[in-house]
Amino acid sequence: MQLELASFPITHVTLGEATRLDGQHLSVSREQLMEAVANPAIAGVDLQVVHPGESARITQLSDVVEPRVKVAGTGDVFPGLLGPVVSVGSGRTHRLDGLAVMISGDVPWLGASGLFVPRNNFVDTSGPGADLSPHSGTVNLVLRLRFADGFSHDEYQRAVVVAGLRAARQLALATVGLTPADVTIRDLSVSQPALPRVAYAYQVQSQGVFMRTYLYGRMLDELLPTLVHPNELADGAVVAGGLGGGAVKLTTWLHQNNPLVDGMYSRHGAEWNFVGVILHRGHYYQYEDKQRVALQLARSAQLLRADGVAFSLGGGGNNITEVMLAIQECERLGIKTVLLAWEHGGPSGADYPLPFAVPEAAAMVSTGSMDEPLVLPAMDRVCGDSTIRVRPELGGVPIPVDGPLDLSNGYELFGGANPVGWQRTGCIEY
Amino acid sequence: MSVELERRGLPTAVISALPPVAQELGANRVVRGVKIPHPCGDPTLEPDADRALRLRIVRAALKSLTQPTSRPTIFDPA
Repeated sequence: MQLELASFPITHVTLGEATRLDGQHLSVSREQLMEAVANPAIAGVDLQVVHPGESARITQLSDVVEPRVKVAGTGDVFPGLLGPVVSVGSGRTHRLDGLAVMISGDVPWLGASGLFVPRNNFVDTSGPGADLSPHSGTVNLVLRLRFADGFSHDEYQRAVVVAGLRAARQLALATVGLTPADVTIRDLSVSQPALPRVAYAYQVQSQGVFMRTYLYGRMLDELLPTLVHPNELADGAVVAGGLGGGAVKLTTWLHQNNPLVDGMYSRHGAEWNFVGVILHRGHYYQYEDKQRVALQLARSAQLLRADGVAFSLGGGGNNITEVMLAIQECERLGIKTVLLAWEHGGPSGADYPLPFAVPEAAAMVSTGSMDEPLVLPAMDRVCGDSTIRVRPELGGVPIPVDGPLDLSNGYELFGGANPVGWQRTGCIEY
Repeated sequence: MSVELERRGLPTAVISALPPVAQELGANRVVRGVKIPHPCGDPTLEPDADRALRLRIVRAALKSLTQPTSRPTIFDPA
């Protein structure tokens, strides 16, 4: 399975009559985009462009998607959600490098409570907050959705997911027939037998509405560990299910641009052989289910003849249990492990960093603390509502975000503690 | 909380859906519960069966309090 990933860098976006690419400048037709995202659950869309470095705070994000389209090979991007269930990951895919479609909006609360509520968050595109999020450095085309009354949370969730994917594909169509600035070949079939074999155990969150991940359009709420080719990730076979989190959220953009996948590909055949991705979910409610995930994950790694497995976390909370048990099981089978993880640790960083650990988890890479207090200056412009809703466990507490922010932790900073290690933060022992 | 209470001489039992997690964090007596959203019972059972399960779990917790432990120990409801 060979994929040519062709990049068209974007540095400037304006709204215009037609969607067309001119060098690194993309002109976007509002009408074409509106047509692409039309949905009965969406009453209207406001479009805004935020360039990196602008003093702006974008609020209430549900997903971020990189525009891509397939120009050769079977299937099309986001299979099972936009088009038929056809195998993806080979042929040629065009991407608008540096552009992100952001879906935002205030999804109706509908009196929900507990875990499965539409959560609010924000991204700053300048100042200290910008350094913490993977979504501050792209040109952001923000589609702010206004929702029609009379739909369920499942219907709103589906609407935000599909809107982001359709908009992203529509924009990428502007590249068809043009010459890319750069083409990367992604092929796992050429490997060096003498090198160690490494797999990536990719945990995602899929518990229920707003906390969901899709594989080929299938909700992963009942997922046991399954094998995925990294090229399938590049073509959008894995899609984030909208909303459901701030700091630890894995957006579709991160599934498309996962830095661990990129890193494992970068030295494939030179320092190691990258043998595949084991996709699995955490947050199972019963200890025995967590053990089942661990056993099956380790068995999959063994069948891949992996010498080592790199793990990352999908979300926060009890999902660490599945990962720790899987690490234990891999090590028992003689497979070395490493875990990439954010930390709790409390405001000072001295408290328990993770809710659960096993002695076999001896190699861990910290991506930094999300418990540290966050002090951020006011931004010149707020893109979205100027008040966001935090503390869903209390029924939602409104906080204004149009001034300076003094937050007791970083939970609402979108992508600020993303579990795949995009961010620039880390920890050192001293 | 259970660690702090034990430190002050009060015996505690923690009913947990993730017993090894409670054990790892130092809870002295850990009673195996059902699931994270409902550790003390199972709403998918018929009401009588759920009530019987709840009684078993709570009795196991109370019984464990009478037993001295020197290290975090998991108790299974009978």
